[in-house]
Amino acid sequence: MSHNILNLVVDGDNVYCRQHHLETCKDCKYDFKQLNTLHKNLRSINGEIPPPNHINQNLSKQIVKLKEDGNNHFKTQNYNDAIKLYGLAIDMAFQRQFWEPHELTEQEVSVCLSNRSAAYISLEQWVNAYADAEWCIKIKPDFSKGYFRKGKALMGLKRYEEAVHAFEIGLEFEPTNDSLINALEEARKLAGNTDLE
Amino acid sequence: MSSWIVTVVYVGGMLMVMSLFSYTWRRRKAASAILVPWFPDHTTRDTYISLLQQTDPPATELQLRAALLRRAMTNVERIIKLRENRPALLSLVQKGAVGDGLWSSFQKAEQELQQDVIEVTQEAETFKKNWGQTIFHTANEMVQHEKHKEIADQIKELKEKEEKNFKKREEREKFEMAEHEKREKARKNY
Repeated sequence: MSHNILNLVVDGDNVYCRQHHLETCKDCKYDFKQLNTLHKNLRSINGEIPPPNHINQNLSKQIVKLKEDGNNHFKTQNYNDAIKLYGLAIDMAFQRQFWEPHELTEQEVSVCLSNRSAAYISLEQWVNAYADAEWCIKIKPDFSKGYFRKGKALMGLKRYEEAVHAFEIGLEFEPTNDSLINALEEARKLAGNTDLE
Repeated sequence: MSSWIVTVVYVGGMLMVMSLFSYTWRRRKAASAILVPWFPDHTTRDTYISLLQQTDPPATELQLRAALLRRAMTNVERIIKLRENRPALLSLVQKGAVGDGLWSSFQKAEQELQQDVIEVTQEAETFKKNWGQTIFHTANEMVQHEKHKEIADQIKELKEKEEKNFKKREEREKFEMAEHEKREKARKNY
């Protein structure tokens, strides 16, 4: 295993390429941006990375509060306010420090995204609903509700065949979910109709 | 009797010539094939080693720690990739769909990676006792965090694309509706 020695220089807090004194240098094909950013982050904690599974409990509480407030607005059909609060909760969850467990972020974010997608569906903002559902699935691919929302949004967009596909995947994760079963049936009917035209 | 001997000698001779040809041919081919590395250069490792050698001015300890963490992150990414690729590649090799060279280069990558994981663990211990036990855990969390950012960017792109498509479709539908109405009107007037 041989290694290459890079022609770099340390200048204060940052590392640059020696030749052009650039952080990201196309000529040298060096990129120290990520390294310098991480260095900055480490400085703020004096290099002491907390032990594994260290969680900012305060942040968790705030996120739960925002989500519940959002749910209350949702229940009173105040969808626009619900969307705002879910959005704040999502932003907050993504702000977790890099050493905190990513599963926690995924759990918090996926629920809020799924709820926000539902709020968009109620407002018939199909593209927003679709984007949030897709996001939710990408963050947590085994969360069946994400597929349910995606399917519903696709129905709103009149893309019935894709909706059928989304519901089918959702059912793979939760085969006895009644809302998924009913939605699939409805989507299949509509998809069949478009085929006949 | 003699015709039987002639046949055996002829067939045996042919077989020997053919196997000799196949043997030398394969050896020449194997010798000429250069093992293509599975991964590109390990840049974060090179950066860490280069930083260690800096003297004017030397890198700070925090800088070195950051560089070591980035190196551990690259290793985590590579471990994930190798684990994902292994079953598919193995079945291709068994079917003979890909050459042995590819498999050798894969195995070499696995060995080198293992070696580098050990080196990073040892290096981490020189900064702080027991850091070697947690550095890869932290590195994994960091890789996942970066993945979240990538997903957010992808969703942003998707949303823009979908919005454009939706607007286009709406306009088309409006246009078709207007056309339809015009036709209906024309028919009634007629």
